[in-house]
Amino acid sequence: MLPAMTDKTINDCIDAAIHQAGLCQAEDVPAAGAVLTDGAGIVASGRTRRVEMNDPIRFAAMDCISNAGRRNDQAELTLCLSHEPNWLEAGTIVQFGIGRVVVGDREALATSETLGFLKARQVSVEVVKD
Amino acid sequence: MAKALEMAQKSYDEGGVPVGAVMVEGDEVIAAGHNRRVQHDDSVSHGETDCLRQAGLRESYDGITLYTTLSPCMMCSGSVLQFGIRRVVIGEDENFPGNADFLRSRGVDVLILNDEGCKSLMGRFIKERPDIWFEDIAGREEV
Repeated sequence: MLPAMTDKTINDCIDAAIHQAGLCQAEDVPAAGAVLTDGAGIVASGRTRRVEMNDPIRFAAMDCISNAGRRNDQAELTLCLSHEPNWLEAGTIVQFGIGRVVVGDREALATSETLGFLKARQVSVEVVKD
Repeated sequence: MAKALEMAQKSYDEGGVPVGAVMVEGDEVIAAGHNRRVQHDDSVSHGETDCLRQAGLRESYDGITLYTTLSPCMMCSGSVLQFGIRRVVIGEDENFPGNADFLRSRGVDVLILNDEGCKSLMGRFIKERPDIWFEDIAGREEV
């Protein structure tokens, strides 16, 4: 069961994701951060570390989901992203059945192919902030 | 595919999920990997994503073919789209349907070999360790 989240919790998690993005160093791609929450607290956080770790798949959501470890409660979790997910991140969200995605980029909503893909695959998608 | 199956067998022998993958450029295998969920306690290390990791950062995936012993889950299918890999060869899709049609709908050339060796190894693992297998795909055979 996906727990409801207050606006304050959502905004705090997005702020934490944006903070993670600010920690990106030496990356050749736009800085990006991610936070996984169970609605009460932060379960894991991550940021793009592809260059730092010479790891092509280490985008922000991947770093965050990997940092969360092996688990089976993904349907109850919300992934907060500083950015629109790319295809690898979106595919991972769908495969693992993460219940909700919140994106801190309002402009992404209307045009994003990946956010449309998530919604079509029964992921709850919310967009906050500008 | 023989090399990918060899990687899958290696993972099985280590107590892990037996899915292997190789990246081929021209006639040459340039990277090989296998699922490391159990070995590295890492949920995002499937056969295909581990193989991409073994190859390291690349500017381009033009001309790359990804071989995988099992039809790719949506994470691994997402990696194919993300990196612009144009051709995927799949060992089998009986033990897990995966997303061959989704990849095809996005313009990826997909070939399914229906390989008995791939089917046999994966089938044995699913019978022996259904708990790990369902964790690997988050209990989601169809997404």
